[in-house]
Amino acid sequence: MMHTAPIAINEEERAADTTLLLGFWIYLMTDFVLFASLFAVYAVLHGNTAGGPGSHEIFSAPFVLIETLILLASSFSCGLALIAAREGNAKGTMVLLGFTAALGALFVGLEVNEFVHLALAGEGWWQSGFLSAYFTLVGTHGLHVSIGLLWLFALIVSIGRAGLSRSNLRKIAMLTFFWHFLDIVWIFIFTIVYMMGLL
Amino acid sequence: MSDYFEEVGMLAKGERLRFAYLIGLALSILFTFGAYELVARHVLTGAAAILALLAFAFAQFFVQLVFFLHTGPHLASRARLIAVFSAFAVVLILVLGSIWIMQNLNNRTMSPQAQEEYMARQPGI
Repeated sequence: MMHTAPIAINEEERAADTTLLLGFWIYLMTDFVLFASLFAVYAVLHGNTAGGPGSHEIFSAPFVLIETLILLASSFSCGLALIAAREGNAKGTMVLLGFTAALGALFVGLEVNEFVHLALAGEGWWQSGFLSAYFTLVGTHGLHVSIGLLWLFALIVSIGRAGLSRSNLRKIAMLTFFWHFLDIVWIFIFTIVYMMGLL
Repeated sequence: MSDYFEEVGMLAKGERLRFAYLIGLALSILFTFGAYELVARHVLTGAAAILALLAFAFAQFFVQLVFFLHTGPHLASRARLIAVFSAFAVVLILVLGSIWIMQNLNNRTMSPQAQEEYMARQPGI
């Protein structure tokens, strides 16, 4: 392991980055409210199947469990990347962020696969209020994960170029917040959409 | 020696990350399988099942908030905690309010036929 000396920041930089990090956290809270409104729509519409399939017909519990564990593992590996960055291990940070992205890509792949199967079976978002709400809620989460993937790739490239600079450390802090936040949103999708739908 | 993540208020002073992440992972797996087994084995039904699932979800939410997002009583994360509480209040009003209002609307704007079916399902009427 290659350890570099931890960077020193002055008071002005410390204050600026503290504010940026809090600002990013407040953005995450507004995203939380966005997801809450989609959950509210889903809660209201989940019984409106309009003669189409209900949750029991289209959800598979083992499949969702695997998706959930993959996302949890990526959340954990993102945390390990933060530990590596804290220790000044740039290479380890890049490898672990890459591993996080690979698990995230696998998760998005499984989700896209599920959506395509449903759509090809004629059970797409156009079918009923229930399916519209389902595709919107789960699709919005998948879109967030996809944007997180692009961000991960950009950050790995940036660390490759500039190492664990102040701006890269700030981005690592924000990205770990973002990634763990997406796992928290998924807990509620797992519980409210899938587990309650299969009760 | 300076620690960037402590200085910008992301982590508490001297926070032990490995320990926190391992605890967070173990508890998250436990609660996920708890919810899964509850549904797969049909342990509970009706309102009891829904309450138990929500309890598992919120338990995991708090575990990840503390162990993955490093939010706790330490001074550095207090501003973040305030944002979480206020967002949470909005979320509760939004979700519970929507369900309440739409349920009420459904009950009050039924067709005469749906109303008869609804009444027939109510015990004691």
